[in-house]
Amino acid sequence: MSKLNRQQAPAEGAAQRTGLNVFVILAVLTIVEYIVAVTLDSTVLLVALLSVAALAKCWAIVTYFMHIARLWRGEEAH
Amino acid sequence: MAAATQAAPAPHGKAHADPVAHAWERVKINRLGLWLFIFSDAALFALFAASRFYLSGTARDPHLNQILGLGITSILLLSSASAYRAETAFAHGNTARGRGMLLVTLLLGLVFVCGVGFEWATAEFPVHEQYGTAFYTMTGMHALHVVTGLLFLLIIWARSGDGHYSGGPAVWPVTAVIIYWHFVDVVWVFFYPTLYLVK
Repeated sequence: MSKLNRQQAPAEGAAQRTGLNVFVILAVLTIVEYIVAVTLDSTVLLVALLSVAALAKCWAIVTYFMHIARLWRGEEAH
Repeated sequence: MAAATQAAPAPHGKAHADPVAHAWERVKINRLGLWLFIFSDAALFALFAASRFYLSGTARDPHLNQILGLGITSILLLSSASAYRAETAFAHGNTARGRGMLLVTLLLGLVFVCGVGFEWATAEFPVHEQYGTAFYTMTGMHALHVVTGLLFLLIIWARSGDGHYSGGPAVWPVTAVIIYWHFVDVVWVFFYPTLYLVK
């Protein structure tokens, strides 16, 4: 393993862990959405809860996976 | 070649002493362009979602395959995670892992498209009914974006074998395709509850 790769390995590992954490959050929210939709009868409450869950998932993907902050920060490091 | 690159004037007339800094500047502009495209495409999908509620209210067809819906949603989320791993690996110069993760993403995307195809083939609601119109239009348009993303991923995967994207600003094409792939996932994050869960 080259010196550069040895230096980059911990940073890559940390970034991969962030990705894994975000995926777990997304998976949990998706399961919660499904359970809420199956169990709830109130349309208004269901739409409200599903909207909150979808917005939370969208925020997680846009922030951590799509790196929207780089639009104004302009750096590439993970 | 390198000397010629350094001697070439910048488009706005200012000489760039550091070609790497110039390359990052171009990435910044390209990123802005990509996000402008994403915002305009998001507006189209938002209109589709609005039309679903306009056409059929919150009612959904009882024949929808809920397990299949949850399954393909999970597959697409998983593909986003593998795409992120691919991008991270390329950004850190780990091309082998990056290519492997791109391949995983491609396969998961294919499974998603097959899932949508299966849903279309087995759905018991007709396209000319209100809910059917919304369902087929929304899933069809989304699947078209998925297929486009798969083509981009395939191109990136094929070119990465020659060491095209080996760290720094050279990784931008991989990043751009993967941002697009995540966008396709974001659209489904809203389409899944809109089509399958709201009642």
